[in-house]
Amino acid sequence: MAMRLFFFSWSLSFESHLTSRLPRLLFYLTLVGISQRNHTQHYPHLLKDKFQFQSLILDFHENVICQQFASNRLQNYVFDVYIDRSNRVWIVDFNVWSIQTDALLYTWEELVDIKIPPDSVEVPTDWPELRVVENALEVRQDPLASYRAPIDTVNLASNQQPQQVAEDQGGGTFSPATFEAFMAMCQKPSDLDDSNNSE
Amino acid sequence: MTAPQNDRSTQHLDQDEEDLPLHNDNANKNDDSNSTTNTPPPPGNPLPLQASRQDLIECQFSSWYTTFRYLSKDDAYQGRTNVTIKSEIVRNLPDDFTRFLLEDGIRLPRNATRLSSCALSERQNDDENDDDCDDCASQYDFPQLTQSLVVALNALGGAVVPKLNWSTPKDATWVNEGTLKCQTPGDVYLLLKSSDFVLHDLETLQAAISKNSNEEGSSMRNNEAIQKSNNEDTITENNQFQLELVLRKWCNFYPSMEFRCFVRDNELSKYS
Repeated sequence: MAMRLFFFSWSLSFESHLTSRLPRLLFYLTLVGISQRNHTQHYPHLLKDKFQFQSLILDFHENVICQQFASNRLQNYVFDVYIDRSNRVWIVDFNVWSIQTDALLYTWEELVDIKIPPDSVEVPTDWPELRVVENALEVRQDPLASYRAPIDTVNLASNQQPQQVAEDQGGGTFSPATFEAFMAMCQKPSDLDDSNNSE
Repeated sequence: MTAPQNDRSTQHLDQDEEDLPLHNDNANKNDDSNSTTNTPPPPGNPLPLQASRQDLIECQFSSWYTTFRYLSKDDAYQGRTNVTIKSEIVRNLPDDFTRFLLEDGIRLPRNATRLSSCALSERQNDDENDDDCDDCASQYDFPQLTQSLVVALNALGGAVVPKLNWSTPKDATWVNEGTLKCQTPGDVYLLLKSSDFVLHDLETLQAAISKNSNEEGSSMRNNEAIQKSNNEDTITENNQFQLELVLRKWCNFYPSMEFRCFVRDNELSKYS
């Protein structure tokens, strides 16, 4: 009796051990879209070589990322890669599948609705689409532009004449004095307004 | 991971003009008059509004970097075992490091005020510190962390890109001569401190940890939860979320050769 109980408990624990080791679901992960990362610029050479880059990325995803990333526990994800001069693909970053991640030349509405060709059909060579900015007219607003400070503002904050600033700085870089003055202005906008009014 | 972007960041420049209030007023008027004929947009798949817990865990830098840092010989890809950029992860950050990042102002920690963007000589910098000594009490000081940053900087060739668990402070490059390249611990502190994306990471981390705490029935406050998880390994669940400062080797990438790839589960294939 003791023996049977022992076996019973052993087989139970062994089974649970096995199931906890195995992934609960195997996801059949498919690359559905690729976008130029810096989508605010038009790079003519991308148009020419995009099919080559697309196949390099597809192969890299299938052979390196697909099975190993998150041990196939994630149903969706976004990743960034870099292709060097020798056509080697490098992992830059992973991002969550969520609207918090910038969809760049896609929209999230599109990404969730992209139809994946069924296995029975021969997949067209241009699928998944690698999107690039096709011409200079199509260039989009840089989402990071709102974080920039114009150099004039920095110079103005130091109360120097532009010419003098240029002479002081030589190469047009911040001098410590101008930079600190600018940061002070950022911190106390109301004070600065007051002093302007009194003048 | 990038922090939130404008939903309409992909808008054409010329379309932006249509967003002027005047145009919007007209549009609203039209909408009112035609409200009965308005049809809702066709139902598509729901948008992924929030990242799941599992998403957040797996996309943290330390999670995926350990997988791809060195591929085993069996997994080598075209003879390569290196498929990502060499990086160093600094953990066990000081208790008040989060507070330092969240606090207003840009006061850099003591002994870490040298910036490569401001071509200060060492001597000038020292003088400046002496002058500031009245307020020394309010200045943060992370001697160990600064030392770890120096060691990591040296190990990575002297120039790095900093990030936290998910985000790189791409929005703060304007304080660092338009680049993410950091050559001193001061550069690293300044970039992280000036970034909204970094702030977003801290908020995500706080939310994830406080969710854990709530589930455990604990009434711990968010800040305390973060600090506690940074401090010790007391709460095993929370260890999945621990503030990490990552330094990646600086690579002079051509911005045109970087691509973002979107991967989805192909549900149909499972049954075919």
